Amino acid sequence: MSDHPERRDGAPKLELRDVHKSFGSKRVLNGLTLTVDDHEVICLIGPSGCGKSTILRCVDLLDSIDEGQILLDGVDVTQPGVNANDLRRRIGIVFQSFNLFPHMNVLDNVTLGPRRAHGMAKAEAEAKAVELLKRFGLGDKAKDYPNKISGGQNQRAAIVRALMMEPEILLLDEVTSALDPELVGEVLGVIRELSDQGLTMVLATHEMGFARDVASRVAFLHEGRVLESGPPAELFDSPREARTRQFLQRVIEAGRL
Amino acid sequence: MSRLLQTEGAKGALVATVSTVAFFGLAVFAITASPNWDLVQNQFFSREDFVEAWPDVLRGFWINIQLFLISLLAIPLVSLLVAVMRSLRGPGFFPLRLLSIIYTDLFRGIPLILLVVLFGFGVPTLRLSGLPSGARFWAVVALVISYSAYTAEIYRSGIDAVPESQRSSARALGLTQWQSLRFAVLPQAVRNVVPALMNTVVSLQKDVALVSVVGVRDAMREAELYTAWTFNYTSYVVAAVLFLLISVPLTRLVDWYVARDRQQRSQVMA
Repeated sequence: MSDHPERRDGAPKLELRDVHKSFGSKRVLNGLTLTVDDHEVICLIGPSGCGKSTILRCVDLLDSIDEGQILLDGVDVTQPGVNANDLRRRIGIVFQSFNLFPHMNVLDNVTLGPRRAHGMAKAEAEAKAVELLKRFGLGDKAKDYPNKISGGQNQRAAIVRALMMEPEILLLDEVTSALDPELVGEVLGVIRELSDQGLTMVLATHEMGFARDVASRVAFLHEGRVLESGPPAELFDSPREARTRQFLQRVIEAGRL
Repeated sequence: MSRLLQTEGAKGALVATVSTVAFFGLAVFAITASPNWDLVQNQFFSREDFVEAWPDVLRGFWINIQLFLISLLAIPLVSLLVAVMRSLRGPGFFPLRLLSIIYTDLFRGIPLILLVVLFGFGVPTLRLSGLPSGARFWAVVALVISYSAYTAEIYRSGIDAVPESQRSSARALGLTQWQSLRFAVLPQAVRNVVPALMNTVVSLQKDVALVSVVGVRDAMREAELYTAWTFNYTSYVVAAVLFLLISVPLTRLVDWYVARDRQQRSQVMA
C-alpha cells in the first residue's frame, strides 16, 4: 500500500538473495533468490518440504536465516539492530491453520493488532474492523468465537486480521490447504479481490488453477531454491526444467490443474 | 438420595443403602469393641473437653482462615510472575529465566515445614529494618514462597500447552513478546490449568496449619496448648472438625467446577 519513507530508489518491494536455512541437519533453503515488485502476486509452487512455508516465515522474521539477505524496500531486514516488531507491522502473514485466538471473538481477534501494536483507539479499530468484515462477508460474525464459525470463515477472518495492519505486503501460507473443498472458493475469492486492488502478495499454494489465474509470476521451488519462474502461462504450458514438468505432470494426474 | 435413585435404579439404591449401613455398622462396632475404646473415647472424644476447647481453637482457626486468604491472594501473583519470567525467550532474558529456575528448584526442593521454621525463626533474627519481624508474617511468606514454586510449574505447563502457532500469530501482528504472552498465550494458559490450581487451593487450606510450628496461635497451636494443660487430646479433634468444615465443601466445589469445565470443553470439541 503506502511506500515506506526509507525506501531505496529502484529497489524491489521484497528481495531474497542467496538465502540459506537449515533446521538441524535438514537443509530447507539452499541459496534461494527471489524478487517481488510492487503490486505483484507471486505464487510459490513445489512439492511438500521444498521450503515454501519457510520462506514466508523467514521474511516475517518468525524464523531466522543462516546465510544470505532479505531486503524490504532495499533495506536488509536480517541485520542485527532491525526492530522485528516494526518490521512485522509492515508485513501481513496468514497461516494454513488460521490460528485465530480461540479465547477472543472475531472482532477482538482482528482489532488486537492495530490496538496493541499501533495503539489505535478501540472505537476506531472496531469501526475499521466492522467495515472490513462486512466487505468479506463476515459482517454478522463479529461477535462469534472461532470455534463457532466454519473453516472458510475462520480463514477469511484471519485475512482480515492481517489486513487490519495495512500491510505493505501480504504473505499467504497455503491458506486453503486445511479447508473442506467446498469452502476453498470463498477464500480464493477474497485473495482475488485483494489482487485486483493491487496488494503485493506472496502465496505458497497447491491451488494450481488459482495460481494460473491470479499470479503475475509463478516460481517453482525445488530443494530449497527457485528452479524456474515466469508468467503462469509460460511456466504451466511450457516449463523449461524436467523437474518442473515432472511436478506439473503429477499435479495433473491428481486432477489439480 | 434422588441422584442415587437416578443413576442406580430402585433395586440398586436398595443394595447401596443396605451395604452402606452394614459396612459402617461393622466399622463402628469394630472400633468401639476394641479393648481400649473407653480410654480413647475419653482422651479424644470427650464431650466436656470438646465444649471447653472449642472457643480457643475456633479463635485460632480464624487466624488460619486469615492467613489462608492472604496466601490465596499472593500465591497466584508471585507464581505467575515466576512462570512468565521462565517463558520469556531470547538471550537478553537469560538472567530472568535462570532466576526463575533457581527459585523453583530451591523452594520445591525444601520441605514446607522446614521453610516455615527457617523463615519464621530465622528472618526475624536478622532484624531487617523496615520489615515486620513477627513469626506470623514470615511463616506466611514461607508458605507463599513454597506454594508459588509449585504453582509456577502448574502455570508453566499451561503455557507450554498453548500451541506455538498462537505465539507466532501474535508476534506476526507486530506485538511484542510481552504483549503476545499477555493477550494471546496467558489467557489460554490460565484456562488450561484452573482445575489444577483449584486442587492446590484445597491443600493450601490445610497446610496453613504449619504456621503453628513457629508459635503462631492458630487452631493447631491452640489445640496443642489445651492438651498441654489438660492431657486431653479432644482439642485436636476440634481443630480437625473445623478444617473439615472448610475443606469438604471446598473439595466439592472444585469437583463441580472441574466437571463443568470438562463438559464445556467436550461441547466445544463436538
